Amino acid sequence: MAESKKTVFLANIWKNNPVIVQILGICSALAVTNNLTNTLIMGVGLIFVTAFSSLTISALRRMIPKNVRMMVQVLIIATYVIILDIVLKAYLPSISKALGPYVGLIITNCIIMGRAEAFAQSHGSVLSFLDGVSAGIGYSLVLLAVAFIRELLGFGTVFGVRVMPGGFTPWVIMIMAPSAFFILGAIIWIARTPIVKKK
Amino acid sequence: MNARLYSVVFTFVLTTIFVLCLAGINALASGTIEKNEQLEFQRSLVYVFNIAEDIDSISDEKILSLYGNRIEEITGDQTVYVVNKDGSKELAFAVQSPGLWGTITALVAFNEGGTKITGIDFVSHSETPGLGGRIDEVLFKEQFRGERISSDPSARVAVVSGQDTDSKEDARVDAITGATRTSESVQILLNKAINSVLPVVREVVE
Repeated sequence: MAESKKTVFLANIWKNNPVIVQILGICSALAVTNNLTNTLIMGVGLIFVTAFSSLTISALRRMIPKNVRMMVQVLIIATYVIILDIVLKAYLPSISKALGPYVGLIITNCIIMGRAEAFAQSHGSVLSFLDGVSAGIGYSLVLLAVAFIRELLGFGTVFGVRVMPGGFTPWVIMIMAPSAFFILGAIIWIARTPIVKKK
Repeated sequence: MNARLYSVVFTFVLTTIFVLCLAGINALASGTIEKNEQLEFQRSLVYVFNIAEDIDSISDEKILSLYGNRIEEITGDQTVYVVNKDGSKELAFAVQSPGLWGTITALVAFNEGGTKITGIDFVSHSETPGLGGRIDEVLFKEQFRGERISSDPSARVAVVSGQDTDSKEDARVDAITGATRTSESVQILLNKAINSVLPVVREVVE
């Protein structure tokens, strides 16, 4: 096997980052990033779902008939998302309320399906699990970067703690959707420049 | 085995296993979830009646004790909650009315004479986050405290833009910028509460 655990892990975080390079998971990257706490929970949720669905799909990969492959993948992903939704509702109700419909929408996050199709389908369980975890981390890091800028300028806070001086006027646009487009676009542009050059 | 049959059987078996897992987890968690929802509703009532010192940092136990000691619940066709404040009563009830995207459920409190709104809280809604969703914000909700109700049945409390709303006697509050339809929905919700529910509720309380 050519791919070691380390290369798989690092590729997802930088060279093959799901958001910056593969441009997947953009919808939620725009939607939940006006507040760092929500973003962090969303990231942890995605890491959990991607890791375990990759693990399960990989473990079952020799049994899954090719013609119903995608249906089975969606079934597995949906199961983990519902588990996550129930756990959040039971133990972190305020975050569940803040994330609202976005938890359910993890099902449609292309990163999970993408990792299932591109990786878990053809690799061993342990490696697939690591691949899922690192894809989730790669996604979370980019989202946290966007959320950091948006929360800092939009509310003057970081994780709800005020850091800007008292006279600071919040930039309302940072809380609204358009700012996410600008910031995410800028981050992708800056981060891809060295990656593209290397090629 | 026939490949097509295998696909069907495999999918069927796998689905059954996963559904059973989910049902189990759901059964384990449903008690906690229900308790959370109840607590959330009671917290809302405590906020609407304005009987807690600091609603943001108050503990769950404090909410339960405030709810148990101060708030009286009268069940019937329309459940009414009553609080005694230094001899005068305040009453609250839940109202549902359509918003922009879905139903808005609000708890609204009135003074005993039914002449003033004393508090409002939105229990559930599906308005656009960041626009209509801002009806959840304290700045918006606090405007309603002590606001006099007008005699105009189509605008009991008008949610307006570009007008002076400072006085508590003018039956006007500020709308949310960029959320005209949601602001209108709140006005309609209050009309419904005051025109059709309040008179019935006041009879029940007396």
